[in-house]
Amino acid sequence: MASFVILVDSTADMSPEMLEKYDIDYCPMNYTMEGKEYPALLDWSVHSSKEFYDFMRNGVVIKTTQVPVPVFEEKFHKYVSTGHDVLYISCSSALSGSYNASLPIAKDVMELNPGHTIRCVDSRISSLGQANLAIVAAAMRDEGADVNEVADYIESIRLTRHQYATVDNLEYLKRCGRVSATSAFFGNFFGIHPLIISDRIGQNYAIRKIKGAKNVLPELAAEIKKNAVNPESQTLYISHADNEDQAMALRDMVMAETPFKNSVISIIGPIVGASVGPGTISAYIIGEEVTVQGGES
Amino acid sequence: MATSVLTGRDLYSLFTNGYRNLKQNAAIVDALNVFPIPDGDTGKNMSMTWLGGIENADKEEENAGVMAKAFSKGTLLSARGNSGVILSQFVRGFSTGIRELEKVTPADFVLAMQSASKKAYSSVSVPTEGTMLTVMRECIETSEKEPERYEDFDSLLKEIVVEMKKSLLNTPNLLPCLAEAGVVDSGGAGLLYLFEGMQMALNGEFIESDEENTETPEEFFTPDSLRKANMKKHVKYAIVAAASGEGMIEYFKNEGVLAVIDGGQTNNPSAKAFVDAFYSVDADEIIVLPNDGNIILTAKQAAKIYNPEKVHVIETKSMAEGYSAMSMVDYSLPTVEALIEEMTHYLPNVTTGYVTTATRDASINGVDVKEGAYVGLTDDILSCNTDKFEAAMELFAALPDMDDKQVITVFYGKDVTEEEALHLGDLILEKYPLIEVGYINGAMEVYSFMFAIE
Repeated sequence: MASFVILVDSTADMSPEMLEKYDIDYCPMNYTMEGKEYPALLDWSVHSSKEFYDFMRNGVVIKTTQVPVPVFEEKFHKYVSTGHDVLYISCSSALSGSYNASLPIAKDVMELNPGHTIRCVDSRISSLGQANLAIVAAAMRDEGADVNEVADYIESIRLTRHQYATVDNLEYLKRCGRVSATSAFFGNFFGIHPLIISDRIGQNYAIRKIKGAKNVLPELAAEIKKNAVNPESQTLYISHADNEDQAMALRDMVMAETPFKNSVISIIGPIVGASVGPGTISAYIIGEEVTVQGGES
Repeated sequence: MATSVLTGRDLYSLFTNGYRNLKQNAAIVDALNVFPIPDGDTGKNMSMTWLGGIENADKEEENAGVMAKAFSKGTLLSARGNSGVILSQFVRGFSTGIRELEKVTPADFVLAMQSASKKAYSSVSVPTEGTMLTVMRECIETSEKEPERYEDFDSLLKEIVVEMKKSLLNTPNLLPCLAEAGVVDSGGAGLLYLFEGMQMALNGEFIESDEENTETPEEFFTPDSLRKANMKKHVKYAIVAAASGEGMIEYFKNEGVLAVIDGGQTNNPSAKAFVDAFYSVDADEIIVLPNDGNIILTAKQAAKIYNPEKVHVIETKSMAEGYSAMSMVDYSLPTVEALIEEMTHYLPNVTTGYVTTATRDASINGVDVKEGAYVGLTDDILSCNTDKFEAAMELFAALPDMDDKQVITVFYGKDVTEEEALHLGDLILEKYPLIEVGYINGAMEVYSFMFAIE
């Protein structure tokens, strides 16, 4: 059985420690600010996370790109040429073009290197939901499963990963068309906070309005409690865009009510961060298969 | 010459003179306002309601029952404000009482007044004594003991008017807020002017006016023409709201209210205005936001006239409550019940605050109110200050549950600039740093500020 390499991309929001622990590599996307392009590195070696989110708070517009073709070519070639198969678990195809861009490159590289397999799997989610799928894949790999077994399994479970998120300012999501909700849904009202899930197709979908900032974390905790399946055997993942206090407060609130095995808090990387904005808090858990599908973007 | 029976024409003539007398005194009735703020409109509402009856009835109709029925239909549709709705139900009860009669005797009249008063009581969920309801009931307490005793209307109406006056003067003893404000009940006063006018007509004292005849009676139901004129696309849910102030009307329209009825504080819309609005939208379900405590009964009356199954009134007592309800709208919800539940979810937590100008000196709720100064109020007057920002801040400080509040949306009136609104926002944030503040240019006429405090 050929050992294989697991790749994610910049939207998996995995810290360097997590990547190392699970032996996972990633394909960086790029972000552009003030006319300059930077690779979206998860070790924040270009701009620190604080710097990055402060730019956003000060109104600097940050644009993002999908994984560039040369990055896929370089990564796929590198691993295949050293005798590995590759499993790429991508950002939701509803949020990024990376998955679709990876397919023809995977095909080309496989044609040039017969006998090697590159599987690209659309995670239908992002951030720590995507990371969680990669971690499951890593565990299977380490137990000896081959790339096709793991890829098929990940495709079969991806919709059980739930997201419960809220953003401080919906403008970021609206600006990049990455939230599904009619304009009438939010309108010009004050003190309204969205509860955003990842729907069946991996689109961010605002399912409910929460009024008043103080009510946001309790509502997220209540959703998590309601939807987590066997929490005692799973990890509670919470990512945040420079809002660690609230992330920890959410963790404590959830753990007080729902006995998760353990929890991981991680910072949202530059790509997801640029589209959700500073202050965002997003929790990921395992539940029943997601059935909700949002409306128009 | 004594009048012992009334025909339809006679009744019409009495009713018309009653209207003219009320109209002449409407400003006095308006001024009988519990709060020293410029929102009194009972006289106007009652006279507009009564005028709807006059316009819908045929003055040549000899049959009293037929005339009264048409008169009643007119008042039901033209009813505006709580006092107008109660008056229209009073008329309805009266017309039911004489519906089989070609001519009315004093005894018939007394029985019809009984029916009228009962109908009026049943039109409000919690009847309050010391209001026009009390005056309606008490004014016939003497005559109903022996209705056959009256040979003519002159003596009957004279007695009714005397009893009305007595009852009206007693209203402050029944309703403490009237006593505190030093006024009698305004609706009761309006009723008295109507009956005084009727009594004057019996005595041949007709008030000259050709106002009622110059107006072409409005056509009441024009659903087809309205629908054609609007050509609105069919929707599952339509929201209809009453609002006042250019900015507020515009705001509710922008936020998806399909029909905004111009009305509110000093210009209450009629039931007909609501019915027309219901016809103007093409929807499976209609949700109504009256947005004013004095419009809720009108909206409910209109819903009954139109189709009570299809029209759902959310009892928003202020535009701030309407704003809060709108902020939770989610048209993707599968049922109207679910949508209403969402819209009403946070309503119990909304406090509506106002800052407006006092119309007279008064001492209310322990607050010394000076004419011309700014008063801050919720359901009660809570502050008074010559500085509008101070009046607002004192209002917030006086709210018992201010610590639980998270969002204040500042709607600023016509007399307030955006800079002033922002300045108030700064003061709020300085004192309550955790509160979210939003600003909407409401361009209201009467209020400098309105606050949705959630």
